[in-house]
Amino acid sequence: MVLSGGVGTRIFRVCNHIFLIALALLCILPLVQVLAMSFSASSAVAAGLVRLWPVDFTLKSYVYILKNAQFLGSFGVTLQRVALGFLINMVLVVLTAYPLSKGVQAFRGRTLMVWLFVFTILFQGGLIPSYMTIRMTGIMDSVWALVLPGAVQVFNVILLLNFFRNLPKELEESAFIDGAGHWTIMSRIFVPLSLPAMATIMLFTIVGHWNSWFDGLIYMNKPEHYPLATYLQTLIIQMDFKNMRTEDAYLLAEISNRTSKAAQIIIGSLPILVVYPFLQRFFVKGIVLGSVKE
Amino acid sequence: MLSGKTRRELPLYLMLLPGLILIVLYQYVPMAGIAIAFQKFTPFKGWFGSEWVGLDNLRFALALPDAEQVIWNTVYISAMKIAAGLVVPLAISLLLNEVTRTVVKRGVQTLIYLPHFLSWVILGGILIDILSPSEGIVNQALQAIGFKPVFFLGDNRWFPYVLVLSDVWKEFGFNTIIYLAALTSINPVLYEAAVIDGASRWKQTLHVTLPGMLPIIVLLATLSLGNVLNAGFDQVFNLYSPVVYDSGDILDTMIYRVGLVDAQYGLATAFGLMKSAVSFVLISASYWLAYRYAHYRIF
Amino acid sequence: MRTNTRRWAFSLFLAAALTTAGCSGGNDASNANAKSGAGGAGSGGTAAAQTGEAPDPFGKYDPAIEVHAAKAVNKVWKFLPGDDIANNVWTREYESELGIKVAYDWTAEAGDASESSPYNQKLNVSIASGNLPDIFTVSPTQLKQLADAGQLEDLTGVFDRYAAPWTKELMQGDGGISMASATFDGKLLALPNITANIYNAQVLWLRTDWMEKLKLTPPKTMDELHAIIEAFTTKDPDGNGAADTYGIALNKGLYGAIASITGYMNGFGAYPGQWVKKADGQLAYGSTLPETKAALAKLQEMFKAGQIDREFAVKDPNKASESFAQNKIGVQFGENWNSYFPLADARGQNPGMDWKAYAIPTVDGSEAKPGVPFPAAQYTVVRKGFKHPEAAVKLLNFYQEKSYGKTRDNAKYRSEVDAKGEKMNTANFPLVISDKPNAAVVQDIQNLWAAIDKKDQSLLTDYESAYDAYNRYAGGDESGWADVRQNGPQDSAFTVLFKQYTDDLNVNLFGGRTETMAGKWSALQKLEGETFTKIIMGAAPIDEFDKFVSSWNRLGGETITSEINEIMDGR
Repeated sequence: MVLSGGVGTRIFRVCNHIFLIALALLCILPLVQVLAMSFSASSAVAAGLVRLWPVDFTLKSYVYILKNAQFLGSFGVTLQRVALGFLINMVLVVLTAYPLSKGVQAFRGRTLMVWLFVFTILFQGGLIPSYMTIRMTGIMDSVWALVLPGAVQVFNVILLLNFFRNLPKELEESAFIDGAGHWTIMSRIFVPLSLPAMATIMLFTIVGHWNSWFDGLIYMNKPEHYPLATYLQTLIIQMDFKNMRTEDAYLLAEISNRTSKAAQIIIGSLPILVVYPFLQRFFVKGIVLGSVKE
Repeated sequence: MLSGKTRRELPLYLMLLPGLILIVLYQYVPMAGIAIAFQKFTPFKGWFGSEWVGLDNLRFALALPDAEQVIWNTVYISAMKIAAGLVVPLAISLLLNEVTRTVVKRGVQTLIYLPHFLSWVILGGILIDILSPSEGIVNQALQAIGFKPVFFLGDNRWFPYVLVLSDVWKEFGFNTIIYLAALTSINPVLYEAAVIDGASRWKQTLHVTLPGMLPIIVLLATLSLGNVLNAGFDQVFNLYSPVVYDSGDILDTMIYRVGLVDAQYGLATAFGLMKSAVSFVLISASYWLAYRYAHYRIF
Repeated sequence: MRTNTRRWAFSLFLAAALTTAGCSGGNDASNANAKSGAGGAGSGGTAAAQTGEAPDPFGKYDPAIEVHAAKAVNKVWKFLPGDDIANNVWTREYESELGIKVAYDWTAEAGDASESSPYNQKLNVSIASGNLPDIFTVSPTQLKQLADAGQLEDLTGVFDRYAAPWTKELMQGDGGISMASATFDGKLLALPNITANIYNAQVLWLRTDWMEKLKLTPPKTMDELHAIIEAFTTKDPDGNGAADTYGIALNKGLYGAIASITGYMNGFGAYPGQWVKKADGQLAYGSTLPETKAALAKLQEMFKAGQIDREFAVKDPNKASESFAQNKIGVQFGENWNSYFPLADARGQNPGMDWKAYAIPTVDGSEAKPGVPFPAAQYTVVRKGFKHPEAAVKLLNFYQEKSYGKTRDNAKYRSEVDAKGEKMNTANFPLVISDKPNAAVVQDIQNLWAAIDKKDQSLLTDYESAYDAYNRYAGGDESGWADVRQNGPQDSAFTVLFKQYTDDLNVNLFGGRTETMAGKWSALQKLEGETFTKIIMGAAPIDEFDKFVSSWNRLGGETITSEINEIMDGR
């Protein structure tokens, strides 16, 4: 936008910057604390002494994690899950959103179809029938059990179909006249013109797969097959204090080690934190404009 | 022979087919399990063998000593969360839209989405520290300007607001992303026309930006209505304690205690079904109203 | 994204439902059972019984049989290189000695062993969908559920015939209450996993460096303890000139193993959360009895006087533990192993700090009778229709023989050491476990002290690592501190437990579930937690306790109490 010189505008602009930057700082403080904990001595963390700066700086936790086979294994499972899930989710969201974005004139069955999908957000059979379906389809204890049941992300479909509907109708009509079919229009016009919406959905999909933990817990048959989020979840649950044996007291000291938990949280979320800044470049205005103006 | 219209629709059905197969298999088939909401469910007797009890499960649940209080807490907390969850991200996305420096804009955008990645278990511990009446930074600030310290997490008058505020704080950055995407889809020609008409930034926001974002706002509002009985299990579970049961115990935490701890599957499913039914009614009603009065299909 | 996470969170509480396969699965199992019953059971056990010979408790299957199992595991367990839970010293010997191949259908994290732990969630889904392993471990709730559904193999006969004499002795070592709790209508449906509940008796942990500084002596009566609590609050024991210390630590759950009110209440002869015998011989719920009220009144008084952290109501045990390291607390009731956690961490941060365990004081200075949980919190069960139910008994024989019997070998079966000198706690790996009752544990500890006294390692019957730690500490190595404070021959938690409490425990007499508990128990527990917390914080007057007792009875407590009395009369 062109800068306009009114005093009011400038005061607003300065206040706006200050406000947003302050807000951003407020949002990263907890993460900074977790980061500081991961570099601190465990007794300092247990004492609750660590604020925003490490106390008794040490790299022990990170060394421990990089030697921890289960952490690395889970990391691998997650990478596999995210890659596969991302691919399937994105293909299906586009394939589903495109037909549903059509008006009733162009696609007579759309209202029924859209409700068929929406209904699944509202009603779920519950855990046990889902578990049995997974078992019957033979995908238990495999990455498919984490990917197929949620393959159609209905919320994302609805979001994308709304963006698709806002694209100028003229584009589609002229393409039809040029002899293009639905497949061409979808892949050559709709998808490229909805990049910000696509980027949003990509982000949601990746983050969703990265963070899901409960399905891993139920559908995987060994802790070694847990995706990272599930593994991290088992780290933060409490240990059984009730039937403590003497030998277990040694284990307890290790379990209660909050510094290594903090370090695992940091390493476990770093990759996903860089995804957004990368996708931000698609949040650019004026793509639609360029094609309509011709 | 297929009619011309059907032939033109055929690719559309083909596109839907893979998605349809998957939701039928993994969503609709398991829905048979809803049946146990109406049963005194016994494992192994299963779906055909368990005794049918109609609405007894729901009746029993609603007769639990605190059911009324719990439902009220749930609606109160979630209504505030829904409202704040719509307004705050919208406002922030509009403010971000006024920022012209790319570095600041992208930086802020990235940083405000970080809290989404911290689990409530972690945040719970952090909140106890910063809200502590004796040492917490919030109370120190309050005392500095002459207020008495407040036991935010242990006081029924404050607890629901702590839930709402902390939830908004954790999630607003993430939800802002959708609005930012919506902003990009507004045709710049409209802004140019508004500038030629001499409209100020404020007027442009009011007459171009907001109307352009309206479909997404309406969509998100409608879908979030479906959450009126979801007040946020993870958050409440990690932050509540016996002192604030009065104001903080919600449906999901109650179902959790009754369902899991007491192994009452029928009861838990009945509650879940009630939540689904309420969401369904609210979402369908808004869909129908929008169509009836504005000739607009929300989705 | 949100929808996705919500959906899973949602499923968590809707642990629910089933489809047709659950039904057919159940039928298959019962059919199989009917068949094997009619055919005289495929196992050699029945044949042996028919011919009148006693079968060999350690007899090897030939050819080997396969057992499908599930097990709760812990991510911090260490294995020798190449080993895992399905391949370790125990599974190898199961196969070579007993001819039993254990195949794990699944394993999951044990977590806190609560109903929401990963293992229990996975098992609940397994149970509800009718997909059971052959041998697995269950909670009391799951045991009742499976017993009611008739899905468990009757072990009465096989236990009788196959249990080794030593096994029978250990399984009755608690006076038989655990075995009784696994018996339904005269049928033994599970093998209780007995633990020595003396481990769970609480002790009083005091900061001895503060005691010395303020010239205080260990308390015998509750009044003396209250004087210490007051001194720790008002006399600036940390010497920093600020009134920033409290007397006693509590956590938001009130009970538990750290910063608990349980030990404090025991000092008043109160046993909250426990089923105790009243003078008339009937069982009653300890939280509703007058002694509990008296203790709550005193806690309220201490809270008003600033002797309890004003924010205790929001702090879980972990959070509450931070105050130890922050030099804010000098008194807490907890379990014997608190020296390892959280006190060792606190000490790491504050070099001059020291804690010692003392006996729980009482109102009149007599010896306290600490409350302890029911000895069995878990049970091993066999799926109905499994052809070799006696395998579970043989596995139990094997465990108890190798761990506690004549052929025990701790260096192999309790902890192995790898090439780097790191210890693997192999005692965690067996499939069927039930441990020693109190008497045997007390003997082990006395042997430990004798070994230390005579510097003769050969006297040990357990606790090899404790012996090492003692010698380390005696040689000036601080890393042995936690061990010595727990199990050393002087001033340790174990000296307190064993000198004073042996055979003088107040055992929680009921460990199972009743009909009415299902659906009502969680509401009653909520009421209890809420009322007690409010009373302690002064948000409700002490007389609120009487209202609590009558609501508790009205909302199902009375029915549950009579159900439990009926069950106990039946035993």
